[in-house]
Amino acid sequence: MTAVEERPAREVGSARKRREDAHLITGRTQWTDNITLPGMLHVSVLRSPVAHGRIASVDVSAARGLPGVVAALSGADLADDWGSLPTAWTVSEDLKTPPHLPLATDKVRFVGDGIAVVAATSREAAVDALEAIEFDIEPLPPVLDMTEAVADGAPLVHDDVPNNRCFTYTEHHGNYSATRERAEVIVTRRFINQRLIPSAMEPRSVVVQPTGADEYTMWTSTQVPHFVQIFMALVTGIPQQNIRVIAPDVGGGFGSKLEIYAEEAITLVLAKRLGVPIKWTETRSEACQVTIHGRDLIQHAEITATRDGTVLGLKVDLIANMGAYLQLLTPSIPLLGRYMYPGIYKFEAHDLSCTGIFTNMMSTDAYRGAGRPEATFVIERMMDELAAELGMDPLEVRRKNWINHDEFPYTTVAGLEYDSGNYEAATDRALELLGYDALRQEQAARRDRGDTVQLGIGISTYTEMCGLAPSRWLGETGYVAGGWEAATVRVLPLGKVEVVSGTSPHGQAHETTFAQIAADALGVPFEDVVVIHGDTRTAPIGLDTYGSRSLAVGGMAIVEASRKVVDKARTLAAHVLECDVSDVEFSDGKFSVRGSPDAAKTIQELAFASFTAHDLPGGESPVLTGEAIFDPEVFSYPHGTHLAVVEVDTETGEVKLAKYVAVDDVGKVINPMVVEGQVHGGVVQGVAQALFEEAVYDDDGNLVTGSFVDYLVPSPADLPSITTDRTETPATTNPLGVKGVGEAGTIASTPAAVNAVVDALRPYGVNDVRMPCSPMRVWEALNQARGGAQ
Amino acid sequence: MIPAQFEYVRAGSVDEAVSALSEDAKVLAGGQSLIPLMRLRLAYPEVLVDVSRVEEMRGVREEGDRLVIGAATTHDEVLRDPLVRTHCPVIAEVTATVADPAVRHRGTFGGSIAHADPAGDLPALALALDATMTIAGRGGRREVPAAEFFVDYLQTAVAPEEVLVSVSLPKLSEGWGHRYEKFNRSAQAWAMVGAVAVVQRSNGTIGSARIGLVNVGSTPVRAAAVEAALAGADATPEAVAAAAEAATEGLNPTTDIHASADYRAHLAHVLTRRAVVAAAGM
Amino acid sequence: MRLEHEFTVPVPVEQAWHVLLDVERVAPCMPGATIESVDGDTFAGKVKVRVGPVTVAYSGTASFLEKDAATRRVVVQAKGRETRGAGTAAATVTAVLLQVDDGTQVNVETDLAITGRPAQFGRGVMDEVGAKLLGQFADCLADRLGAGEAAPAAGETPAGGEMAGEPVAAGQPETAAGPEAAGPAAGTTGPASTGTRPAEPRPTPDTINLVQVAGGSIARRVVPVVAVIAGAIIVWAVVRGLRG
Repeated sequence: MTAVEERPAREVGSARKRREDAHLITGRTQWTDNITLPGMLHVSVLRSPVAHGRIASVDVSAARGLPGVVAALSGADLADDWGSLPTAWTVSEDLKTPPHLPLATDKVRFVGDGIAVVAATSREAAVDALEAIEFDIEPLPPVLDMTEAVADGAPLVHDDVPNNRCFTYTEHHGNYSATRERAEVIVTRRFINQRLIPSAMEPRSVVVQPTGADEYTMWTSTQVPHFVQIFMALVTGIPQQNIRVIAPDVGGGFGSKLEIYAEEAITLVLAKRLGVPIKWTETRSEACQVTIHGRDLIQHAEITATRDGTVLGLKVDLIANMGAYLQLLTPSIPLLGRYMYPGIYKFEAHDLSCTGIFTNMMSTDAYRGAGRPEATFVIERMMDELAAELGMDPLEVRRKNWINHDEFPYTTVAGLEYDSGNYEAATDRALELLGYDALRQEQAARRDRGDTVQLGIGISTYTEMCGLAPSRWLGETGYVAGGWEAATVRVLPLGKVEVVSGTSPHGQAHETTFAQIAADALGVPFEDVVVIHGDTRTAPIGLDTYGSRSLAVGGMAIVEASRKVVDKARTLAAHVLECDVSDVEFSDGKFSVRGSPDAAKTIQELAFASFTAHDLPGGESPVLTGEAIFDPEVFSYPHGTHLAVVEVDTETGEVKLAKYVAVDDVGKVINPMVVEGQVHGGVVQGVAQALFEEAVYDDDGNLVTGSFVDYLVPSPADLPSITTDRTETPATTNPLGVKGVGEAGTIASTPAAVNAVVDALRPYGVNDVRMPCSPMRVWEALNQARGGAQ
Repeated sequence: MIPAQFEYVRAGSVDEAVSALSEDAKVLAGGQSLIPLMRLRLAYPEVLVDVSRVEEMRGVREEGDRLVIGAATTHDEVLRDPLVRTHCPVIAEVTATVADPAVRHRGTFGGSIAHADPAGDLPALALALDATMTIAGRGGRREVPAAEFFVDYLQTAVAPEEVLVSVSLPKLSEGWGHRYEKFNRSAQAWAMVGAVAVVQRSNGTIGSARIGLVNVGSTPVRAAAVEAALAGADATPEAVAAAAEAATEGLNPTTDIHASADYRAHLAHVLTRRAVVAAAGM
Repeated sequence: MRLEHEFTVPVPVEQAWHVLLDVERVAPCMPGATIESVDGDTFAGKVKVRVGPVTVAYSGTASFLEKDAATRRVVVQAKGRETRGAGTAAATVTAVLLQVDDGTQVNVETDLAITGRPAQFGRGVMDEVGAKLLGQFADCLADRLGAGEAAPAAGETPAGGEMAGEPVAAGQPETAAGPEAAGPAAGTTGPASTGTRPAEPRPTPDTINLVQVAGGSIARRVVPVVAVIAGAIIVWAVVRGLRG
């Protein structure tokens, strides 16, 4: 144990294979649904088939007598067992937060709203028993169209929310109307940022085991075990310390598991009532129907500019579909993008308004990017539209307006201070990788010869505010919690290391990248570090994963905690080596006396010495442990330039993504392979919004894209190879220089792909295609541009 | 989701299968359409009769100038079969587009035809090739030509107590070309519209053309008017384009969330033209 | 969702009107339906429709909301719940008869709302199925009218206005004693009041080629055209949505 191990090359920056993968790809995962406990009952939820209606009766008695059925309960039966599910962000003073019980009692407000539950000895028996529940719902006219919802006399989703208006919000930066007067060009567009289904690979699942007197362990497929613990205590009245929440392996979330769901409360309350373990697992149809949806905004945008392409101002009016109830962050999502509408550009005025509207649909909430893709879509589409209006190359307009690398730090018109960036470098690299000039020539040639298949090149730059933290900022904007993150680093007696993090992954690579960070900070081998997370008992302090914060906030906490360990070890080393602390040098895991390199102790030796406590310096406690909480003062700002090339068949409307280049600047990179994976996944998700995916409700409020037959998640067969590269401009606001990458790919890819489609069709007179740019929509846009002739 | 309870019978022979069938039973082959319906409880047969191991219903064999494909032969087996590739490669071309590899390893040629989904690839192919279906019932066996097989939406000439045993298709000699133009929104999706063309070309003219259309009505259909217009026509893109205008004559294409009736009709024209042009080697 | 259909039967409007209101006479033309009870203008029953492997079964009620002899307008409301699921189907059907040269033109407007699993898995192509089913219904009705006895009240044309616009509340027997009372009043038609006519024979389900009707054990097959159409439409839509 005393041998000083050779440390490999620096861990940070090396493309370590993901430690998580071996068990993920060999079937040794512990998904929540894999958990089976003795005596466990299975729960199934009876869901409203009606989008809007008054519950006249729910009679569960016939279900109670069926084989295997242990309990059948209606919303009314359970009404006293819980309170309303939480909303954590009071975005405005006029925000309406109507009650949201886990099971409806008075009205149903969307197709899928739970009205009763059955617990049975098998899942099959539970589902069978649902058929025996008698209920009578008096249908009410559904509220499905946002513009109609706010009209006087429209039906009300919540009787006490007039005009279905959830909140209104405005921001003014600079004097927009003055820019309008001076403007030589004004371009307006209306964009529909459609509703999306997050489609995580693992549907949700919850298991609750009673472990003592009113004590429970809950396994749940969540991004936010700490939030679940807090809010389950608040919703059910069970003391917080009696609820242990574990997020085992979690198979994707994209924001959809940043949530407190009805089924978590249902499972917990049934475990409490029945005293046995309870499991609920979502079917894929339920995942489409009752797991939160993303986006769903109508965006009116107006940009003012001078003839030379200088942007003066941007005005954006949003109406945002909340769905039927407010989930954890619902009202904040459209506003999370409020500062991002100016993108990477310099201009003098920006107005923004947003109205949140209740409808009889599933709630919307955070979906990869959460507000920032929506904002980037508007500014990047508008830059293209402005370029077209001015007859300029879309790149030229961007160059003319973006913040140059020598202008950082730069405070945008929306008031954010961007610390660093190099938009020129990222863009130049992207153009080079794409072969931009050659493709423009190819495009011109196809246009000249009237080729059936036209080429379109789409550009999108982006930046985003990452590392959702500054607690002060969160407080000022009405968020209920802080944004710090915690870490504990322990060097065990035998010199191995445990890193405890308050953020747990749902498909990222915390166990790999956090170990890389700690290995470097402590000078120990990567293999010697284990990362512990996702259990409120073993990692009790934390604020979980969302908003590209795990590295920029949680990673920094690990750096800080490691520093504390090193400081403590240094004190011990000085004691053991009989020198002054200031003379102890630390390098590669070894503490040595300045000028006497042979007089040295490894961190492993010191860990054991600390553990024995035989000879500690005065006042020092045994065990080499450091704890830290990191709460950054500001956001981090990754950026990048994405280029998409599409081929559009002008006869059929088919759009094929032919080529895609993403050059991202996410600051310092811990593990390039992980970053590349994040960019690939993000790009595909963004392109999916542009070209494939859309959640559709019919006129009665039925979700008609209720399976993957109709909700089209693209597969690798639908996409080209994605070329990725990076520029690296370290963040100046944290010691690691990191910025975050979890959402980056999704943000630029949607406007890049749509810009490419519109670019291909511009000569035909098309200046927008509604997302997703399906073949029929392209064909219709062409027909319309041609004057309706087919 | 969770299917309702059912009984399962594994048939060892066609006779066993037939004797296990009833009004409330369904034949299970690859299960790629039936099982999802059952899981959603939109289908709840009381008995499933599994024919996937009935020897007689598997594999491809020659019978004179025809190929006979056992109904329970998987798509993957069909598209790799040397007889198919030699004598009727259009079958392999179309089969290769069915869903994805996982589905093709379970789903069967006969299952797809017996399910008779107008959006399926194989029913239109069977129709275009004038296939003959062999159906077994308690009273023995009968042969039904494709033109009489597809009765209506998901409805075929196979009665509840019957099972489709095999499908007989003609070998196509040297002078025939083929092309399947499948148009879908994502690689694994069902065809929004499809056109399969088998064309015989000689001396600059089109001798004969057979065209099947996918997903333009409640059954697969033959583009009979286009076939008639093409017979003896010049083998030029212009002549084909003119003939293809008749692709949806007499049809009433459907509207769904992915495609309106107008758009389907438009696609039927374009895809028919493209399929014929390619099949004729232009 | 609204569906509109139109067909013509080769009989005078008066005759068609009486037949249309006569559940006993009309019902056998409806594929897949069985009636379980009659209470005034409200009929409770089941509809079970099969298309290929798919079965959708509803139990529910249908009632006349309005019968206006003057404008030859009937409004029927049908509501059903899936017998094996939480889904519902509700339809309001308005049928209007018009005298035309070669008989009676029947315009049917259906306002259909389908919920539950069937609605969740894609739609499309409903008009076609609806039209087909209604077509079968029309053929059957026309056959019956052509082959059957003349309507007893055919000669007594009600004076326009006497009955105009008088709605009939659901579930209540029609009490109006207009000229129609001379014939077998539709509103009082029920199992107990059918003695004046021989019961219609059951149709053979095998004759229905689109929808293979599940055989019912109850002798009389009756009621709402709408529900049947709805059922078949749902099945159609669902299967189209489900090609996994």
